[in-house]
Parts: sequence; structure tokens; C-alpha cells
Amino acid sequence: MSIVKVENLNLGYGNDLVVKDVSFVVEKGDYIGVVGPNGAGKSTLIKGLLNLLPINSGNVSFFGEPLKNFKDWGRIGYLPQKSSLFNPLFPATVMEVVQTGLLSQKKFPKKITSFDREKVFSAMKHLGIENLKDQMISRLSGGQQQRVFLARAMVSNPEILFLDEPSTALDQETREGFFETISHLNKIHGLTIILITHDSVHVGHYANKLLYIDHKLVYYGLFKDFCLSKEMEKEFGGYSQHIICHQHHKK
Amino acid sequence: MEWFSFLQYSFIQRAFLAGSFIAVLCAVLGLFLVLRRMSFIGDGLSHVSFGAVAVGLLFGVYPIYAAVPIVILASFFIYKLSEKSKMYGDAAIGIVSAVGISTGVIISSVANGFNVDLFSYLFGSILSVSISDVWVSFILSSLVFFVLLFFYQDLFSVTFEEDYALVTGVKVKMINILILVVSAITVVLAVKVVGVMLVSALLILPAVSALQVAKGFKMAIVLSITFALISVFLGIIVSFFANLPTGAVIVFVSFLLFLLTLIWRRI
Repeated sequence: MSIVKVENLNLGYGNDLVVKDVSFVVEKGDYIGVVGPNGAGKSTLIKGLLNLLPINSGNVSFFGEPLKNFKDWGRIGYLPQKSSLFNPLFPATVMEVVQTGLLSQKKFPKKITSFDREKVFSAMKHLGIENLKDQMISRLSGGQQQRVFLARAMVSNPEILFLDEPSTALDQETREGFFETISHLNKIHGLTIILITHDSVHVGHYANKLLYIDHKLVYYGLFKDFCLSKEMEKEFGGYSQHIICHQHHKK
Repeated sequence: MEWFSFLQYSFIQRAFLAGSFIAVLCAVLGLFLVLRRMSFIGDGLSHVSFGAVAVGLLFGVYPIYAAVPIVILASFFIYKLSEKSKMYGDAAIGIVSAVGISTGVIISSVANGFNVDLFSYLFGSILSVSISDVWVSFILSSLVFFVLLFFYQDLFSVTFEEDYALVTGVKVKMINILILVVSAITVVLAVKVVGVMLVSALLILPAVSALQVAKGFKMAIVLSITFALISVFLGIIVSFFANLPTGAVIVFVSFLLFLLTLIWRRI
């Protein structure tokens, strides 16, 4: 069974469509790199899939359930864009922030139990941030904050993880470490990954599928097929195709 | 012992009781409002409560009973105006606030006879609270406090990061409406303590003082409550002995605490 199925999706702000007639299917264990030019609709696409933006037309389903009826949000993890993150004045500790990742599994009145706290601690330990549990999130470095938000996304033990430009505020070394962690989650734990990035040069190093969007879907499929595709060579030019594929070949 | 003899006065006891309930409420709600950048909702709704109290006095209804539903309606109006009319939230608050205060002024000029009562709501009159005021404060404060307690996790998540809260299935729209309704009830109660002109201070000052020094959200709640209680208690005591207006003294004590937290933070 497919994890995500998108059919003829149109999304936008009012009548201005940003994502036009996009269809694709995500299978279990996929690591999909979503790339495209600035303003091409990458983030809009993810917002539509996650119900953060109303859908103009088309269908989206998670685990066979139409989006409008889908309630099991604990099966989905989300790491938002750094720039759109939290209120910096908020005096929340790392522990308090990671706990919010469990709310998708809670019924009213939502209470955090000692069992939940163990889960939170285990998610933090898995990402090597358990020593930060009582620290204020606003006082951490960009890389540490990103690990906290990854722990929050992972604490509900999701089957698919959406990452929206997660490396924007990270230096190169932290970024590489971060993507190694994501790859580990994909390869060892079978977590399905959808990674939005502007970095079309490096995405091939980690992802096995490429989704190239420029308002419309330009390409969706295996990275290696993209690299061999004559049609894509015509679309992008041989040089650009080589740049996108270079890191995938190195992999 | 002589110094404490003022505690024997029943009006002082009532003031402490009603003031404590409302202080705790303002302290907790204020944190959510400040962090959600909705600080001025208190100011706007307090102006509406001035008009609503005038309506109550005009029709001979107990002012708080008249004010609660009217101010709740006004809070819905602010929500709809900023949501549907694509208007900035602060502009919507400004409109509702101006209409509220003008309603009060028009009613007071048309209907003579209750101007003294009405204007006691402008600057607060905690020393004149009746036993029924204390009961109403207790019941409404308890109600609001339990609502905040039941929805604590959702309120925390929405306040920290709204988009993420949506993805975890939190009903963000419902939480936003809840904050407005709770704010409306709290403002009506707080108007009795510090008055229309100063109610937003009781919501904002303890919260921002706590945010200067807190090292976690739960700690911020405890500190905000502590600062609010100190402000109300010291405000009542100082105003009693110095023969000063209580509402204004409460706010001034609260401001001094804010300055202290600023200094503490810099040390």
C-alpha cells in the first residue's frame, strides 16, 4: 500500500495557483528529494499535503485514507523550515518542546504521563541531545535546535517524515551530520523521507528518488533514471543534469 | 500587631480574595496573550466592557452579568473581523475598542444618575467589591482556570508554533477562539480590580516580568502568578495606608517588579 498518494493536486493562494496538476505516489522506505527553483511551489506542496493550506482541487491520501478524514497524525513527522519556527521569546525547555510531538496521539484532556516522558527521553537520547533536556530552546545553537525539532518529529514514532529546508541555518559540518542522521533513519529504521531542499546539487547524495517541481511536476522517479533520461537532458541541458546527478553517482 | 489590624476590615478581606482569584487568572492568561503577540486584546476588550457595564447600569442589570456576554461577543467580532476581512488583528481590536468606549460615553451622557458607578469602572474599585462580586470572581476564575488546565498542552503547542500544532492534529481555530472567550471573561473580572484604563497592565506586566527570568514555561507560570499576587497584595496595602487609588498602585507595584526583573536579568 502506498504511504502518500497525490492525484491532480492544485494548490495556491486564492485563485493564484502555485502547484498545478501534480500527481505522484510515495512508497514505504522512499527517500524523496523535492527540488525546484525558488518560488516553484516546493513548500506550498508540502503545506497542502499536511493540511496547512486548503487544497484548490485534487486528492491527497495518507495510508489509503483521504486527507479530509485523516486523523492519525502521529504516523507523520514534520520538521518545518527554520525561518518559520518558534516564537524566540518563548521560555520553553527542550523537554517541553519535544513533548508537543506526542499531542497527535493524545485524546482530551491531553496529559503527559511518565511513560510519555520516557518516550521523550528516549527520542532525545537517540539524537544525542538528552543532556540538553532542561535547557531553554532559544539558547541552543542552530544545529542543536534542529536536533530538538527532529526529536519532536520522531517522538511519535512516525512512518513518514517531511523535512522543509531543514539545513537553511546550519553550517556545512552540522548540515552533513544532520543529513547522515536522516539517512540512518531511512536505511536502518525504514523511515520514509520527503525532503524539500533548494540544494539540488547535494540532494542526490542522500535521496533515492527525485521530485522536480516548477509549478508543474517536471520529473518524479528514481534518481538513477533521471540521470539516464534523454528527455531530462533535453529539459535541463546536459550540464545541469550532470550537476544534479554528480553527487548521486558519488553515492 | 497594630499594623495588621486593617485585615479585620471585611472590605479588605473581600478585596484580597477577589484580587487573588483575578490576579492568578490574569497571570496565566497574560503569558499566553503576550507570547501570542495579543497583548492589546486586553486593552480592547476592557474598553468594550466599559460600554457593556454602561448597558448593564442602564437596564438595571448587575454590570458583570451584562458585560460577560457582550465582551465575549466583541471578542468573536474581533476574531471574525481579522479573519474574514483580511484585516490586521490590531486594527480589528482598535475598531471594537473605540466602539466600546463610545457606547459607554454616549449612554452615560444620555442617562444621568449612574455616572459615579460607571466611572468607578474606569479606574477600578477593588475596595468596594461586594460578597457577590467575590463569589462571581471565584466561580468565573475557577471556570477559566480549569479550561486553561484542560487545554494546557494544546495552548502550549499553539503558542509555541501554530503550524506544527496543526500538523499534530491540534484544533488551532478552536484554541484561538477559546483564548478570546477566556480573555473576555478575565477582562470583565479584572476591570473591577484595576479599572478599564489599567486592565491590560494586569495582563501584561506580571507575564513580561516572568518572561525576563523564567527558565522554562512552567517556571514562567509560577513566577507570573507570584508577581501578580505580590502586586495585588502590596497594591491594596500601600493604597490603604497612603490613601491612594488602589488600581493604579497595583499597576505601579507590578511595574516596579518588572524593573526589578530587568535588573536581575542584567546581573
